Formats: sequence, C-alpha cells, structure tokens
Amino acid sequence: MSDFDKLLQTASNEIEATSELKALEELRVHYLGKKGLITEQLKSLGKLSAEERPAAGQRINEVKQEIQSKLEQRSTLLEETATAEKLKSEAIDVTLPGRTSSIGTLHPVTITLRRIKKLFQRHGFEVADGPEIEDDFHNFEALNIPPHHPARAMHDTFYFDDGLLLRTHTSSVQIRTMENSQPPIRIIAPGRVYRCDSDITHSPMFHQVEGLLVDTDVNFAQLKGLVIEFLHAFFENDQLGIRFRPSYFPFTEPSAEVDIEWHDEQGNSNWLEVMGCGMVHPNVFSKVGIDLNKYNGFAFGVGVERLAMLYYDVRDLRMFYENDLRFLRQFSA
Amino acid sequence: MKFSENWLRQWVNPEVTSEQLGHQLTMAGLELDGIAAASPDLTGVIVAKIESVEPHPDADKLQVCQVRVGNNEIRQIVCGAKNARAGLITALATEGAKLPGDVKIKAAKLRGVESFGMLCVSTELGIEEEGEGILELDDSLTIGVSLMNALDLNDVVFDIDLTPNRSDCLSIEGIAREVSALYQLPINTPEISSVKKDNDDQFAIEVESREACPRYCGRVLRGVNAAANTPPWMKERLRRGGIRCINIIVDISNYVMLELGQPMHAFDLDKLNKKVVVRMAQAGEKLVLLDGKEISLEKDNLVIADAKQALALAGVMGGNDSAVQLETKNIFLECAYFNPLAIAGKARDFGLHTESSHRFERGVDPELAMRAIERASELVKTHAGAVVGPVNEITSKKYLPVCSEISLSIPKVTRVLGIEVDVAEVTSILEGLHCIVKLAGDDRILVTAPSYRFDIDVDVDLIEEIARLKGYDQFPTQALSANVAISGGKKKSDAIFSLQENFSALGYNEAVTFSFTEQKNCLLFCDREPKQLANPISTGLSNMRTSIWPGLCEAASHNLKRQHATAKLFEVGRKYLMSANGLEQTEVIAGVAVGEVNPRQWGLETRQVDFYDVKGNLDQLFEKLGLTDRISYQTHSQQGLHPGKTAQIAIDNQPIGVIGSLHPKILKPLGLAKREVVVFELKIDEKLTNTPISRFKTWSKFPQVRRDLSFLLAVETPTQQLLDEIFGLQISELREIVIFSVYQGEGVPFGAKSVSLGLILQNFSSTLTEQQIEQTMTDIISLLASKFNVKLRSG
Repeated sequence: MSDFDKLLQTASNEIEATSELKALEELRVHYLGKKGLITEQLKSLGKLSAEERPAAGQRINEVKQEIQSKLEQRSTLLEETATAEKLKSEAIDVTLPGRTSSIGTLHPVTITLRRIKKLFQRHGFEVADGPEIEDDFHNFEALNIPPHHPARAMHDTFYFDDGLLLRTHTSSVQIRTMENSQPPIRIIAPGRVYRCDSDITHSPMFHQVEGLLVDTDVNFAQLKGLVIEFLHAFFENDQLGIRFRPSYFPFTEPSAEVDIEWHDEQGNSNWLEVMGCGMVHPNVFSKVGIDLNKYNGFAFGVGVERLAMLYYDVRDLRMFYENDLRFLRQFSA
Repeated sequence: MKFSENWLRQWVNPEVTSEQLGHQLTMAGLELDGIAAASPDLTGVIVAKIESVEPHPDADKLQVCQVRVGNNEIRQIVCGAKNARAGLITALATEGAKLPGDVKIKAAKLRGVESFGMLCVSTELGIEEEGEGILELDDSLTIGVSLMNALDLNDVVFDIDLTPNRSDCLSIEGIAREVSALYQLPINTPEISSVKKDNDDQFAIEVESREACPRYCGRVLRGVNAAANTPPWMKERLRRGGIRCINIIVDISNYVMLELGQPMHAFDLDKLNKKVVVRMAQAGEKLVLLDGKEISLEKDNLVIADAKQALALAGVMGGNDSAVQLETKNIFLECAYFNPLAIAGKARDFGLHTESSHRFERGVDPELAMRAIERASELVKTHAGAVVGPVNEITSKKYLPVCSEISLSIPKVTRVLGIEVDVAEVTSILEGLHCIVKLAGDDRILVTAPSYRFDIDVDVDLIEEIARLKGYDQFPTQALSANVAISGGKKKSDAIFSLQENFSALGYNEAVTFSFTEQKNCLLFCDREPKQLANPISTGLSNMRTSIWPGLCEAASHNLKRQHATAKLFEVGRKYLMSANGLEQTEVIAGVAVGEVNPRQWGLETRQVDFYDVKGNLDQLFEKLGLTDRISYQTHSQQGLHPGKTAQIAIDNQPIGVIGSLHPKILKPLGLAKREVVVFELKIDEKLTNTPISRFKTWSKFPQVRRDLSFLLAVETPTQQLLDEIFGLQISELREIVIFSVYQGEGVPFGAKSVSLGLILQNFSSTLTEQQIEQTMTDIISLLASKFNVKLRSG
C-alpha cells in the first residue's frame, strides 16, 4: 500500500467517524487546508523528477478529490441529520385546538328572513318597511276590516289608550306602500307583529313577511305559481306537497290558505298551514286610490318562525325569544 | 262548528267516507279541525231496566239489582251507584263487553253476591265528560237493544273551523247546502209547515230600536210541560254539537239553532210584565244573566225588556229572572234578526261568548226567523205539549239587508283567476249555490245571492265562489310577468343585514327580545314615561321598551346563570320614545358584552371584557364600513351608565350612538351583580346604512419613519384632545399616530398618566431628511407643551 493509499484510508476512516459538522471542518482543514496534508504533498511535488511528477501529481489530485467528495457527502449527511433532529424537536401536537376568539351567530329568524328575501328578490320584490305602533286605519280600516268586523276578534290586538295599536300583521305596510307609490309594485314587508296571545304555539310577538304585487294583468294562477315556487325553493324540495284551500281574509278575494305536506316521526303525512294569500280586495284599492279597473294585485303573508320551525325542526316557538346561547348557536347562515 | 255526520247525511248523503267528506269540506274553505267517533265501540252494552233493588247483605255501599235485559230475561247485577233504582232504564255492560280503558266485563262475585255485568256510568262509556251515577236513559228506548243502536252512536262528530264570513254554515242546513253544491246532490230538507194556531193568544211586542232589530217574531205557547224529557235522539245531536242539555224548551231552541242556524230564546211568559220591548239599555241598568252574573248595561247594549226591566241581553244571553224553569207552564218564544253591528263585540265586553252571540255578530239569515219559529213551535208541541198562538212579527223592511243584483263580467273572472270559463259553467256553479242568475249580454250575468249569503257583496266575491267550487287545487299555475327593473342605490335592509353579519363575525350572538317589557326596565336608561299597552298580556310585558339594553341584559344574565362564561349579544329592533315630536319608533342595533373576553382555551389567559374590548369591536365595524375617519367618541353621560365609562359615538360629529359600562347600581336588578357589563347602541341611520362609495387613493413610495414620544398628561385630559391638537398642526408628513402605551402608577406622579405616542411620518415626494424629522418633532413637542402643560418623559 502506498503512502497515498494509507493517507486516503486514514482520512476516510476519520471522516466516517465524525459526527459533528465542526469536527468535519477540522478534518477538512487538516487534509485540504493551506497547511493540510494533501496541500503539503502537492507542495512537495517539486522535489520529484520530471518523469515521476505527472503520475504522482495525478495521484495526489485523485486522493484530494476523493477526500473532498467524502467530506461533502459526510457534511450533507450530517446537515440532514441535524435538520431532521431540529425539526423533530420542533414538532407540535397538531391535534390541540387552534387559538380562537369567539365567533357569533345570526338569529334563526334573521337567517330565515334573509332566505325569504333573497328568493323574492329574484322576482324583483323590494323590501318595504313600516311602523310597528300603527293606527287603526293602516292595520284594519284600509284593509277592509271596519270596526266590529268579526275578523278583528281573530286578531287579538294590543291597544294603547290613544287608539293606536301594535300592528297585528305587516299587511299595514301594503297600505303605506300603496299610499305612497303607484303600480307596478312588488314589495315584501318583513317585520315584527303582535297578537295578544301566548302559549306553546303562540307568542305575543312574532315575525311576518307580507308580499304585495300590483300590476296590470295579475291573476290568481300567477299567485299560485309564485307561492309554489317559493315554498319549493325555501324548503329546498321540489317534490314538497303543497295545497291551496279557500279561506277568508277581509283584504283579499279570493283568499287562500296554503298547506304543505309534512311527515311526522311515524311517517304519517299531515298538512300544515304555512301561508295565507289572495287577490287584493277592490275595497283596499279604493282606500289607497289605486285604479281598480286598470290594476289588480295579489298579496301573501307568511309566518317567519313557522317556516323556521319547520326548516330547522324546532318544536317550541318560545325558544326563539329566550335567547339561550345553546339555542342561538345551533343555526348556521 | 261541531255536528253529527249522521244528522248531516239525513239532509244530504254523498257516497264518500267521513274522511273524504272532511277533506272535501276543507278544500271548499270549511276547514276540518277534527273528526272523531261519537262514542267508543260499546259492543255488548245494552239498554236495560232495573226491576228491583235490594241492599247488599254484606256491603253498605252496594245494592243488588235485578235487571231486565229482554222480555223474559232478568240478570242480577251488583251496583254501587246511588241513583240505581227500580224502574230506571239504564245501560248494562254484559259479560264479554269491553269498555274504554280496556275494561273487560266478566261475571264476578262482589262480597259474596254474584253479578253478571256492570251498570254503566256515562263517563265510563266515554260518551260524556262529566256526570255522576249510572246512565239514566229515556223510557222510550227498547230494552235489550244495543246502546250503540239505541243512541245512534255509530256516528262521527265533525268539527269545522269556519271563517267569519261563512256564518251561513253554522247549521246543519248550511253545511248540507255546501255539501249539496260540492257533490251536486239534492238536499232533503225536512218539511217545516206552519203550526196551526190553537188560539189568538198574543203578547204585546214593541220594537223601539228598529235598525238594531229589523225583525222580531214572538209567539205564545201555553200549557207546556217544561219538565218533559228531551228525546234521546235530540239529546245526542245536541251533545255531538257540543251543546249541554238544560230542559226540553231550551234544548229545542238550541236544536233549531243547530239545525237551521237561528238562535232563539224562550221566556217564562208568566214572569213578563205586560209586554216585550226591544230597546237600547239605559246606562247603568242592571241585568242578571242566565249564568247568574249581574251586568251593568251601557247605552249601546240592545236589550229585550218588559214594561219594567231588561230581560235579556239581545242576541247574547237571556236573563235569569225570566228563564224557563222545569215548572214553567207558559212561554213566550222569541225569534229575531238582529243587525250584526248591534251585537258585535257586546258579548266580549262582558267577557262572554255564546252560541247565539257567535252567530248574530257574524250574521244570521234575515229571512230565517219565520221558518225557525215554526220549526221550534212544532217541536215544543210534539215533545212538551202546548197550545199555540199565532206568530206576532214586526219587520222593518228598510233596515233588513238587501241582496242586490251583482253584475259579473265573465272576462273579469278569467282576468282575476287566470283560467278560461264560460257563461254556462259560471251559471251552473252559481245556481248550485242557490244564486239567481240572469243573462245580461254575451259575457255578462246578473247574480242575486240567497239571503243567507250576505257575505257575497261584489263581483270578486262571486269570483271566489267560482274558484272555490272549481277547487283551488284544480287551478293551473302561471309564471309571473317579468315586469321587473333593477333598482339602484344601497338598500337599507342589505345594510342592516351587513351590520348583523359584522357583529356576528365579531363574536356577538344575535338575540331577539320582546318589544315590550315591565315599566321599571323602561325607566332604567330613560326618564321619560314609556308608552303603555292598554291590554297587556302581563305586567312583565306591559310597556314599550325605551331601550333594547334591558332585554339584552336579561338574556345575558339568563346565559351566565347557565354556566356560560361569556355573553356577547346584539339585537336589531326598535325602541319607542315619547318626545316633543310625538312617538318615535327608532330602529337601532344594540349590544351587550359581559364575561370573558375570549373563549376558555389552552395557552391563552383570559380576562373579563371591558369597555375597550367593545369599543374595539365597534372600531373594527367602522373600519369595515369605511367610516373610521368620520367617527368620533366623546365623554358622555346617560342615565343607567357608569358616569366615567360612557361615550357618545358620532359620525361627522352627529351623534349616532352610545357605548358605556352599566352603572353599578342597576347591575343587581338586571341579574348581573358585580359584573363589568358593556353595552352599546347605534341608531340605524342613513349615515350608517348609506355609506359612500369607496374611492381609490394612491400612497407614498418613500419610506416611513417612526418617532416615539412619551408624555405625562393630567389623568382627566382625554387623549383624543392631544391627537386632535397634533393633527391640527396640519403637518403634511404626519401619516398616523399610534398610541402604544398608557400608564398610571409607580414612577408616574399622582394625577398624571403617561401616554406614549408613535408618530409615523412619510413624505409623498421624497425621503424625509433627518432635519425635516427633527423640525416636525420640535413643532409637535412645543405645541403640546404650550397647550397641555405636558411633560416629555425621558427614556
């Protein structure tokens, strides 16, 4: 074995035995540095004869490259190991919960109102608004409900001493809209309404959306079409059973109540009333000064909590107003 | 309206099941509310007669009865009922019979005496809800027949929920008319003939209030046996109609009401003084009603009186003094048409609601009175015996409602309903409803509705009848015409929804609380009298809220009591304030925050929410809305809020809301004792909902520099003033001021606070030189020194 081979052997062994980058650097200096063993060998080439020099030179360079390559390999390996260890030491428990601030929720009535609004907006209905403390004219009289009309008894109205009242329906907004604008009219009027009644299915305050469309050529078949379209979209079910049956509202004629088919836990089918609607009564147009020979219209009303209860499977109406966070946090928009 | 199906089917009998009939009525606008068997299955229960009763040898409370169950058959039954007596016709559950509640009847020994069945109490049979003792049946029933047959119990009770316009259906006849029209079947109306008068006995009638009582019929019936038994079939029909049996006379008047729809009243003739007068009451006049209650009448109450006093509240309820009793011999039968407006609301005023008032205030057929009085007279004569006088009728034609001829254009039917119809079809439908139809040209008819359909008033009423009879479900649907324009501008409702979404993103849960509350809640944040309901549902819900905060605070308290660490709630709604301009119904968005600032979690210490957390939330909202530069806060005071922790919020210096911590003294009443509770309220105003369109602004490309300054400032000086002054210098390089530390305590003199500002400087056209920066800082420091007497802190 030549001296070169021995040198290479020793260097290789030492490199392999090194486990730290710092020691590896020391080895590099030891062999390849300015005063390193290989460098020294290269320097001593001059002492050789011209014939010996090329072969020896070549051999030294080979050894140098060999050592260099071994150093690099070892260095890469050690760096990778070091990085791996560092990463390992940095590992976290990714299953721990993330850091949060609280996130709030929208009330199911708001979400439901929003959904209703969006659906009717597609047909060009605008949102209209009116006062909750109303006068008799807008809540009753103009809606063809004169004093002592038996329909008033159905309304269980809250009154104030000055004769004002809490609106019993958002139909009052119909009147205010028609007083202030001429057809074509397409509005929905969402809002709070009040009835002097309280039990598991009745709340003294609840929400309603009233819709009104007034135009030339409006008919009952269109009303029926719109209501069916709405209910199918609202319940996201095109197969939903819907039926219209005659009913009575003083401000519409013909009037209809709309039932949807609902299956209980036993799978029995029931019809549940969800909406009232009808063609605007000519007396209403007369009260607000709309030409009833030129225009006709339809109106519909829907109980927001009623729809929300069905949509979200809530059984107790009162929960909507208890504001228990366990309830409020259940509904995503 | 409850009624017996068998009874209806005697009038008109379509070949459909009870369920199908009920469905058909619902689909015709007579909504079926319930349908139930008239009785449970009572197979094995028979009509029986107690022949003899002997005391039980071994038990004080039991008797041993010998009961006849057929011509030649007697059974021994042990019975505990007090009314068991010889001669009584009653119901016997025989061996093998099953009674409701899964009671099986077997032969048994009761205290050593054999009993072969059970004598039945009506409640045990499930046919009546109350009653003591064993059933007392009419003598006319045949012994041995099954009770189901004897009482016609194989029947169904319909309960129909009628809309107020369909008072014509508040009778068997009315329902039968509908069924006949729906199924196109004839009606078998029982023949009602005039009862031949036996004498000319009359009682004087005076109608003073002719408008309120356009028709009044009276008849004297003498020698009645008011103690006579009401026939079982009548009793059963009344029971199934939901009407209690009283005595034969009252029962007959109720029966005729159920049958034909005409409420009637019978007076004890011998208790009437000289005459019957229909008049308005005198204010304060007293009347003791049938239910024993004394009422004090008003001037707008129509009464039936005699020469001396009020006898009955017309159309609502009779009086106690003149009521028919079992010993009554002579009666005066009244049958009237009262104007609905004269009756409407009167029963309610006295807390009453009677079968009679229910019908009269909705309207009774004005042409029915004569038929009804004849029908009732005939029944009284048959079942209670009577010598009958002539009917005395007073009618004021001019006050009777008229069924005017309505002109109906066939194209209008199509225009309103969206379906094609022709004259023949329309005529057939309307004639089926007993309207008189006359042709008036090619596409126009003249229609007169029958007297009981006074709800049909204008052409659209007829159009509804056409739609109803054709069936709403048979209607096609049509698409809406697309006469829709895109309307411009920001929509308030969209803006409100965006506020709601923003608050929910900021960690607030949306609540909905009642708009009314108790009075003391209304006075927590406002010293003005709240608007009070005249008829609240309870004192807790009696006043219109003057602020949303009490409701939200109560909701917060509700949740904290249920182990939630935090309650951050908001609500959109109105508050109602009485002001110089009258009533204001102001729409606001309000919120409350109490409890821990963050959800409990690992690695993050929590603390209680304070004023600045909530203010920060509002600032985030304003930034989102692009309002930051236009918002300002000012020290403020408001009732109910902490005097040192309240600020008014303004947009462009116009007040828009308030933020503050609750005053400690109101925490306890709100169930939030010892808490820091921060509330806010923003008026939903144009400025908040109609924010301007964002306009692009360019930025400087040159580097920013920051210089920090620390000042000592008097504690009570608002930091905002400091900033306002600095910005007031109009230094063009000054981009922003960051307040990065506010400190009071050790190292800072008492009464002072240390405020540290980071001033961010940047020029639009060049990099700032050290000299420019120094100049700016000197200007700022000298300004603050002169205005605020502030001290620059070293270090």
